[in-house]
Amino acid sequence: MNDTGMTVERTVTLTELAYCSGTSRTVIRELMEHDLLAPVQSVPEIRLPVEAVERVRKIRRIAVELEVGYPAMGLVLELLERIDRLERRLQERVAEAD
Amino acid sequence: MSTTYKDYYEVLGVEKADDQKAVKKAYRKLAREFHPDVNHDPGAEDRFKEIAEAYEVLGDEEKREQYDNVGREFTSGQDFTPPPGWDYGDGTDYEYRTAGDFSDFFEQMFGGRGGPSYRTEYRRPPMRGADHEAEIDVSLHDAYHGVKRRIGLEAAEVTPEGRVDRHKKTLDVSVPAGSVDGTRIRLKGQGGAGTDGAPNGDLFLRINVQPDSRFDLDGRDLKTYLDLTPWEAALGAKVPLELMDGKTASLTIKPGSRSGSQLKLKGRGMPATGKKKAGDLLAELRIVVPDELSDRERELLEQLAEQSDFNPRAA
Repeated sequence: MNDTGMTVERTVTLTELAYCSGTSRTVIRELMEHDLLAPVQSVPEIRLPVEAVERVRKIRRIAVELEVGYPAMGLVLELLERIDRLERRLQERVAEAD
Repeated sequence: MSTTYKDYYEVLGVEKADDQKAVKKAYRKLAREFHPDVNHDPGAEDRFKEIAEAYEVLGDEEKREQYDNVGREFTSGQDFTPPPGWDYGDGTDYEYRTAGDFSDFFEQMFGGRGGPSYRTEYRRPPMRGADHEAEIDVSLHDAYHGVKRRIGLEAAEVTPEGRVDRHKKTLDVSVPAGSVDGTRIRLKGQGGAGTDGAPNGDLFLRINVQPDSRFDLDGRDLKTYLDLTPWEAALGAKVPLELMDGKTASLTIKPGSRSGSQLKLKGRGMPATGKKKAGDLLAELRIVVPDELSDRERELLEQLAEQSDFNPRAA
C-alpha cells in the first residue's frame, strides 16, 4: 500500500463490505433486506459502518454453524446482545458487592 | 508422526451404533451450548472446535467410515499413527469449516490445510473470498490478435484496527488472441479477501468486444459484406477481400452470383484458442450500383436493357 490514492474511512461501500467479509454483494443485499444490516447512507451510493464487516462474519458463522436462517437471525443477535449486556451488568454488581 | 487418538464419539456423546440423524442432533445441541458467539466462557471456544472437528468426521458418512476402520483398535488418548500407505487425499475438497485449526489427529487422518491457528480471538471459520466479476471493453482487432492491458481496480481491506484502507491497484491482464464476447479471464486471488488465512476469491474479467465497422462477430464467426458490381456478379470475377489478420484473400465470384448469398472461408474467423476451434469468415454478397453513371456507362446499360429479356419478377 502506498500513500497515493489511499483513503481511510469509517464507512464501507457494498462492494467493499462484500470484499472484506469474504462474501458476495448478493449476500449483503439479502442481509439488508432482512434488516440485519443498516446502511448509514444510501445516496449517491450505499455506505455501511465499518463494524458491519465483523457483523457479517458473525452472521455467517451463526448461519452456518448453528443453522440459523436469516428470518430468525435478527432475534438471535438481539438476544445475544441482551445476554451480553445483562452478563456485564451482573459482573459489575458482583464487583461492587465484593 | 504419531498423534493422540481422538474419540469423536465421546466428544459428541453418541454411540458407534447411532445413525447420522442422532449425530446431527447431538452436534446441534452441543453447538448451541458451546458456540463462541453464544458462549463467552473461557474454554467454550476450544470445546466448540473439538465438537466441530468431531462433527466434520462423524457427520460425513464417508469420513466416518474411514475413521471407524482405522480407529477400531484405539481408545481415546492412545498414540496414533496411521497405517503405512494411508491415503488421506490432498485435503482440497474439505468444506471451509475444516480449514486449518483442527487437531493434529484430524490432520494426520484426513489431511489438513494447515492454516494459521488463532490463539487470541475466536475467528473461525476461515472462508474463501467471493469471486468478483468485472468487464473490459476491447476492440475486435485486439480480441483477434490478443492484447496486454493494464487495468485499474479499487481494492479495499480492513486493517487490524477495523479501518478500511482503500487503494488503487493495477493489474496487467493479457487478453488471449481469439477472445470473443463473454470470454472470461480468471485472475487468481484477485477477488474478495478470504478471512483468516483462507484464500482470496478470483476476479473474472468478462470481455466485451466492441462493434467493428467492417466485421460483425457471431460466436466465433466473423461476418462481413462483399460488395460487387452488377457485371462482376453476372459475369463472375476474382475480387480481393481484406481479412482480420491484415492479409488479403482473392475470392472467386461465380458467374450469376446473387445478392445475399454467402461465401464461407473456413477457419478464417476468430483464431483458435484453447480448446475452441477457429471460426469461419462469412462474406455476404451485396450488389451495388454506381451513384452516378458516366455517359458511356448509361449508354451501355441502356443497350443492355434494350437487348436483355431477363425478367427477375417473372413467375
